Amino acid sequence: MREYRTLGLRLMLISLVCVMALAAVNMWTAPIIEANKGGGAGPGTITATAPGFSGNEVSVTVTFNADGTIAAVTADVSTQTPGIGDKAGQPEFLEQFVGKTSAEGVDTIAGATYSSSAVIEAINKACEQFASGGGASNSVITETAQGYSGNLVSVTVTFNADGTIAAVTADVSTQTPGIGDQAGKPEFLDQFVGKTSAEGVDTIAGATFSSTAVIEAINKACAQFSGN
Amino acid sequence: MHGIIAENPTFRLVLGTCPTLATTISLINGFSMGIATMFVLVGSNVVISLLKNFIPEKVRIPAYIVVIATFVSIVQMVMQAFFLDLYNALGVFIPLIVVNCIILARAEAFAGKPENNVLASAVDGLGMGIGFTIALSLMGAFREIVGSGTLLGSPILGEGFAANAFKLFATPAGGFFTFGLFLALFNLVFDKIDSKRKARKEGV
Repeated sequence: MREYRTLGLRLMLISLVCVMALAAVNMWTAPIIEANKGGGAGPGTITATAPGFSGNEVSVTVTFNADGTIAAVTADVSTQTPGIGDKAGQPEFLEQFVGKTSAEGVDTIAGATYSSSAVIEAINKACEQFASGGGASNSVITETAQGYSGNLVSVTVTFNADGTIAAVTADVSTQTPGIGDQAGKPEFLDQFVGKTSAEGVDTIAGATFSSTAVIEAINKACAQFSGN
Repeated sequence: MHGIIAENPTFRLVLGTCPTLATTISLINGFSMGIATMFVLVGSNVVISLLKNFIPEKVRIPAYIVVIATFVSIVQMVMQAFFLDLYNALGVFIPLIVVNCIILARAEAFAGKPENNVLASAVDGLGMGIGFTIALSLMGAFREIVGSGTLLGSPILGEGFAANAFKLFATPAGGFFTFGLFLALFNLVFDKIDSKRKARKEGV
């Protein structure tokens, strides 16, 4: 029995030292790994998959501009043959899709047919999803804020891939007709286009609560977008 | 340092065959895998040699594995942080270094033995690691040139050859063929050396 205790204790000690070493290395490398991951799924993106070589999946993340053209493409081709199929994940191949609204016009890679076809198929899927869904769902954010008399105002902001506002619509039906609903009019909302927050836009004289609420909701949406 | 040629782990001891076949499709992949494994080899040999009196005989295998796995995890994290392209290229074979026979075999047969001190164990790990890296690089270069027409990514035999290369060698089957070829080559050379030695002994 005593022997087992020694065995157990010694193994535990060895494991403890190893774990501490691992924790130290992890603390050192984790921030770098996280920073490198930067170009992953962010706002304004759709991720789609398609089967590639030997049926192994390829995953593609497409970043869209508000007008539906492709801003950027990244592809996870780790399941494909190294040195051959992973050419479908290289910038030289993926850059060809920028500015397009589908994968049309881009040829498969000679010698990496299955892998590059899969990337093309996934990009087309993403484009279809974008078109039918009215945009990349994470580039359209709806936020609410309390307006006049505490009644809620709901604002929907559509973002471009670079984080600037493409469009704003507001539901101000709970606000005073003829007064507060000015905050839902195009004249007011157009001011936000191209901005990354509601800064620099003044409240509407005489409709302070309502317009403040819209401004607050827009700021919330912007914060949520950049937090994604 | 016998591990470099005479006791080359891949072609003489025939250890660690799995990563040899899987990661040698290109020169850079094979080379990187070799270096990563070498690092683990030296590290684990040193630590195990240091701890050989502390590790109880009955649990030496679990203890060795814990040490080896720790080094592999460190290598994995460092690669993911600083060599992301290689990390993605080698994929699942990095964690599989843990079960690479070479490492466990040297730990058991060399580093764990009382007559081998820490320095000798480190040198042994280094020699085996270099031999492994050379083996993987040779196979990687061969399979890349013949199978994809490129070397380190550049089509050295012309674009035409690159498009129509012997793709077979880039597949797992080709890996086996290449391995067999190199094994035959090494055997041929060593047979000649052996027979010359015998002739010399008998001559004297």
